[in-house]
Amino acid sequence: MRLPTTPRPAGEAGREDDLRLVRGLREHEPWAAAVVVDRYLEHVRRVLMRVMGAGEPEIDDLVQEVFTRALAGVHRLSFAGALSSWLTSIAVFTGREAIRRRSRWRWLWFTAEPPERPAPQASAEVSDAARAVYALLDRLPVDERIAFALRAVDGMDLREVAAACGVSVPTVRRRLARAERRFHALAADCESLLPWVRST
Amino acid sequence: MNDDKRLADEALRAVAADQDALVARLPRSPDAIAEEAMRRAWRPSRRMRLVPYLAMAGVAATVAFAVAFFVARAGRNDLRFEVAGRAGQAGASVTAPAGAPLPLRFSDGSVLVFQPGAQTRVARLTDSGAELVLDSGRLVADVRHTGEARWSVVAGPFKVRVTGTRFGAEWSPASGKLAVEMFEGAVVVEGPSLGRGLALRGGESLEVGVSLPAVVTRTRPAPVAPPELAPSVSPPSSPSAAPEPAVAATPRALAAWSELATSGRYAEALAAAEREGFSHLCRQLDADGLLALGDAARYASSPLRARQAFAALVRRFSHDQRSHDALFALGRLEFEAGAPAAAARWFERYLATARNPPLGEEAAGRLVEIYERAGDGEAAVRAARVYLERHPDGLRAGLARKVLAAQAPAEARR
Repeated sequence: MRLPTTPRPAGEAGREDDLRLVRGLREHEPWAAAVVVDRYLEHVRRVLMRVMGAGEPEIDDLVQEVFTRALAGVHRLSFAGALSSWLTSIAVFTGREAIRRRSRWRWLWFTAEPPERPAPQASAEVSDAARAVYALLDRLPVDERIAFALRAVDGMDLREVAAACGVSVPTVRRRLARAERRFHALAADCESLLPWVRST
Repeated sequence: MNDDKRLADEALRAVAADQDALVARLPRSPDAIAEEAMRRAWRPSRRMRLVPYLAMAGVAATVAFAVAFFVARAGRNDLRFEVAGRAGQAGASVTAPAGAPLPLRFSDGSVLVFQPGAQTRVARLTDSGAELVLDSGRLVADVRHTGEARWSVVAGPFKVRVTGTRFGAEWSPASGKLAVEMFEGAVVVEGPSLGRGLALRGGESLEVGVSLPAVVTRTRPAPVAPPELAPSVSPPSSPSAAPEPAVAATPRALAAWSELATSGRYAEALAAAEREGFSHLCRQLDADGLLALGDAARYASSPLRARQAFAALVRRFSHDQRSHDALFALGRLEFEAGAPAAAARWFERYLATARNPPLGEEAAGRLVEIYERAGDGEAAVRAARVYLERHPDGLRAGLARKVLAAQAPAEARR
């Protein structure tokens, strides 16, 4: 279908475009907000899903929160070319807060069950695996969980994970080492993940 | 501890791919998100907000004084109306001649067309509307929505209260039956067996009798106004939900916006919904409420808010019939906003909900139009075939055949 779209310009043009966008945001231009949301909506949703899991019932509220924070704090963005990674870090921060909030509520209601996660339309095997993976991640400390999700599920490199989490690369490396150790130990004992567990 | 075992990387990659597929399938409503983010993030500080209010207060006081003075001098400015080109008189009876409908044109732009043989009387004119008595027969009303309009049509023991809408009403004094058919907007019908009043919205019909219970049906909301009104009839509204108001987030929220919407005061309804927190309502209302909220926003000329409400309905109640209506409404909103690609996505989804959904012809026809205008021959041919297969005598059958005919030589050349 050949219908009008708004692809993001690549390379130098892309940076120039981001610069114009950031300038527009700082001047509270509605067009700039509309373009930023339109362009980065999928990206923000994807980052939040990596952090929270696909069945997170609050995902739309969190997406809204991310863009609201982005618009409110755009004056703090010093380098316009970093728009994408800046939105990533806001999404990670927002997801982190939601996880912590959820943990507090779960403690208050004395329930260890994770929230109901509607299965995405994948194969039953993958859906089960996804649910099990995020149920295990719920048992990790939140900072380790996020580092692991971004690195192992999303495939970010160490520097990207560090930027997204707002910490140094060595800190990320330490968190990842702990998270991997805990996660794989838990996974080895998880019945739903048995088909996916391999001996090293 | 199983130190020598680990989850295979492909499991995590499969999880990521699954998430990506879900992200690609999620409905997009970037405008609504941007609008809400701007509203929350860019509102002026409290101190800055006071400045315009103080200035406005001074201006408002001056204007109020001037208006009061002017009104006291000028008196009320009641509506006027014309019948067959002549000034009409309140209280006089009017009968539509056999063989031709008779329009009553009011000075605010409202038009009420009485079908041949219908008898009526404009009982009272005010500065914001009129009270008509329908002695017998059928009328089709296009009451201009001004935010202040107060109209009513009395038929026997029944009364139809209107603030701005298009509807048809038929009253038979012999059988004591009233029929009301909604094309757009909302009315409230009062009378025996209707309690405190029954709200009707676009796409609904009511039949009620003096000694018969009310029967509300959802009809296909096609614009069936007579030729007199045809040019002003907008594309059909999506079928609405049952007339009972939705269960709102709080009783206060329901009272604030739902009642306003039910009485057709859409701009005020939207303002009330904003005060309650529009996004909050989108998260809390049930399917009926979301449909009503989306309709109210659309009639209040806020397509972004309408999109937000309809998208919430689709997202939260994907298996509910009303979410199918919302799919069509979203397609229409995008179509009207000049976003054909987005409109096509919604219409395709709408058509995929059932073999023949209620507004299937409209959706299929618009798809033909969209693809044809976009120069996407392949998609246009596919849409045209679907259209003709399902609606060979439909309104856009001519266009669909033209698309197929234009494509035939190109295929022959290949």
